[in-house]
Amino acid sequence: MRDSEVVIALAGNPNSGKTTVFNALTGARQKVGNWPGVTVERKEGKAKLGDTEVTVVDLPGIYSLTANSIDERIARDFLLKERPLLVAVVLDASNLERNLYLPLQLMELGVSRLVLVCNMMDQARTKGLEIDTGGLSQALGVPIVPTVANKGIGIERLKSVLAMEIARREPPPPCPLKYSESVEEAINELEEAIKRDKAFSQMYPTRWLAIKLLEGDQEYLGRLGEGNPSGGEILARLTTLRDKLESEIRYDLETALVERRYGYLKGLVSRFAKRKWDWAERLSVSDKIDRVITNRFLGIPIFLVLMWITFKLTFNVGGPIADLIDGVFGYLGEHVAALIASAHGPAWLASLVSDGIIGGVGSVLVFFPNIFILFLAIAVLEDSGYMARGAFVMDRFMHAIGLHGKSFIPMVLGFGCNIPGIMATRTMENEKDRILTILVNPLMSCSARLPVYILFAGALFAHHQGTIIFSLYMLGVVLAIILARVFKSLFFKGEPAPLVMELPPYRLPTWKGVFLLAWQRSAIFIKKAGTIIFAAVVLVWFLAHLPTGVPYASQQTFIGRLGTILAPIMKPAGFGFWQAAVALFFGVLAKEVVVGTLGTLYHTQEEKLGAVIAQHFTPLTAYAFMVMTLIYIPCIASIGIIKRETNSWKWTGFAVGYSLVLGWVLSVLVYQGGRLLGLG
Amino acid sequence: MWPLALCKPGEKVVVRDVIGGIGVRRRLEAMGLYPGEEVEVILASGGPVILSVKGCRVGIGRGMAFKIIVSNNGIGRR
Repeated sequence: MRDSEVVIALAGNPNSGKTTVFNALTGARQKVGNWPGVTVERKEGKAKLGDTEVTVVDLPGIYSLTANSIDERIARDFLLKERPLLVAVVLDASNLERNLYLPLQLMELGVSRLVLVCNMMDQARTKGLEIDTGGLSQALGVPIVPTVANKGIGIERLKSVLAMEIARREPPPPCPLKYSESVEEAINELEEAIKRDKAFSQMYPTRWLAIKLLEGDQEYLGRLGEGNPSGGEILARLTTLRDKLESEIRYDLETALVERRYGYLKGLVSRFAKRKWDWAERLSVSDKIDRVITNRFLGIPIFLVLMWITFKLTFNVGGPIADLIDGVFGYLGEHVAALIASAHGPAWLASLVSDGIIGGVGSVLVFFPNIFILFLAIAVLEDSGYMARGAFVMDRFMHAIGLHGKSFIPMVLGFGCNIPGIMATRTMENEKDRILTILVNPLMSCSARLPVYILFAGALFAHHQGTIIFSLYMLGVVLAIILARVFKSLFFKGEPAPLVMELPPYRLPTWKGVFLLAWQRSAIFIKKAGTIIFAAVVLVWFLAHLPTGVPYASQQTFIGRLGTILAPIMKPAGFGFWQAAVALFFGVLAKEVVVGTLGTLYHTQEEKLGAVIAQHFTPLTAYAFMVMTLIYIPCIASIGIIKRETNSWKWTGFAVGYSLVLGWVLSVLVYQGGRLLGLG
Repeated sequence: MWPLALCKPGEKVVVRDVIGGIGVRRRLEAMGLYPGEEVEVILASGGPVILSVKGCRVGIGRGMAFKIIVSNNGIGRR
């Protein structure tokens, strides 16, 4: 049977092990695509269920069908509007009561068949829980498969249950949850009114619509807007029913419905998940760690130490590996050039391949070890559970500067690369907080700027290289703080969204999980080297050779002429010569390109470039140049992602504009100020 | 009745009210925090408050902790 059009959605709370189940089901056969309508990444894979092949879509983690952040909206809309044939809901077996809330809502909605995946059964057992999945399955009327997904236990069984459920092709069974008699009566009465409104009643099953209206859900109430005669009728009926019920139960109906749902789940859990012994939850290890890590006084120092260790690892471990790769590219460049020469290939081809492509792309790939190690360290912090705490530790500080606790993770990721940093803002609930976080994210000095710092600081500040580089990182952070404050008071007035987050227990990160996460993020960098950077170095090489007849990389070439036009702009900053202007110009494609371009323009090998730079720059102009590199215009890829995530050319233009002006002003200030102090 | 932010570690309280729009209330409800639910305060040292809600640890930012109103009557009466 060919069934690849059959779609199974994978839903569940965050931290329920959903991704592990997804990986176990689909193996390596995954791809990342885009969600229709919004260009947000969508992870889907093919799973073989017996001899049927189906598509599995991994939805972002959600707690309920109410959506606040973009991530949640995507998951909710998929379940409500795309209506997959089958939804597999992954549950954390240790916390069934809350984890069952989402599938209970899906049962009330009643548009897809469900299969519940009771995951992490081993952990539940160590906590003294004995779960009767068979009994629970009977009570709910949906199949439940117990699994330990990270050990592969129960996956085969899950596959056969999914296959069986697909083959049934029946509508989902009715939801077993019933409300009190008077509420049920009200639901029935409202359903009758809804059924008379053809357009409204076709949106969703009428029972679901009635419940949502009684809960006072704005999204559904909004559909009953003015100018719709039957809408008015439904609203009138709703108001009468609500008032009647609320005077009966003496508090608001919304809370009553929520309580009933949780009450039902509480009953189920106490029947089918027996606690054999009381697990010492009170002061578990995790809580003891939290007592220290989220401490009012220790929290921030601990955070700073962890960041320091992260950067130390990035440079001290990454450095030697980078040198090794540098050697490989140097060797490659020489030998490929020799090879082309010996095959009587034209000299220009040898130059293009060895100086242009291998030199240019190589000078960028050299930094891959640093970037990978940085992302590895960040993944360890995330996987261990620290990052979620970090949001709380930094919450006060973030608030003080106008950001949100949840801005913290995107900002830290920005040190690796601004692209994953900006993408990580999707978990933020408030759109104002989110755009503000995106706007200042490029000021977090990403690893692409590091090659420029290493080159210039190495050439002109040999004895203080570390301090100089650190000062640039700090400058970025300080500017982000100031600008966040300024932008907040100018464009994003108002209270930030409250910070409420689940704190999963601390755990030892797994090698597999950490490497996978670090690889996914740093792969962007390799992809960039193969595409944008490759194209940029080839372009620079050609522009440095044409028109024919002028000396290579001289001021008479196209690139030289371009630089001559741009150079006066940077004169007040002390580096008003054409090579610097050209390097910055092409640096917009990717900031690493600044190094490669200078290499081409001074026609010299990577290892000798430092010495050449030292002849052309003074320490003061070099510092001004680094400040400019840090701040001016985010790279092309970042601009693209800012546009995608803010969905606004206005904010994208603003991000480009403010950074260009700020970069220029500050580098001029550095140079002129330095001269006044007699440093020039 | 008092705000959650004033609770001490180890205290068991019942949520009475959440001050805020429907969006905030829905968000808390989905995580198991709604009027009538009993929660245990795990950590509260002037920074964020960490609660045990239905066996899960939920962190509440300082600002939000002032908007969740709790009391200690009705504990164990559910």
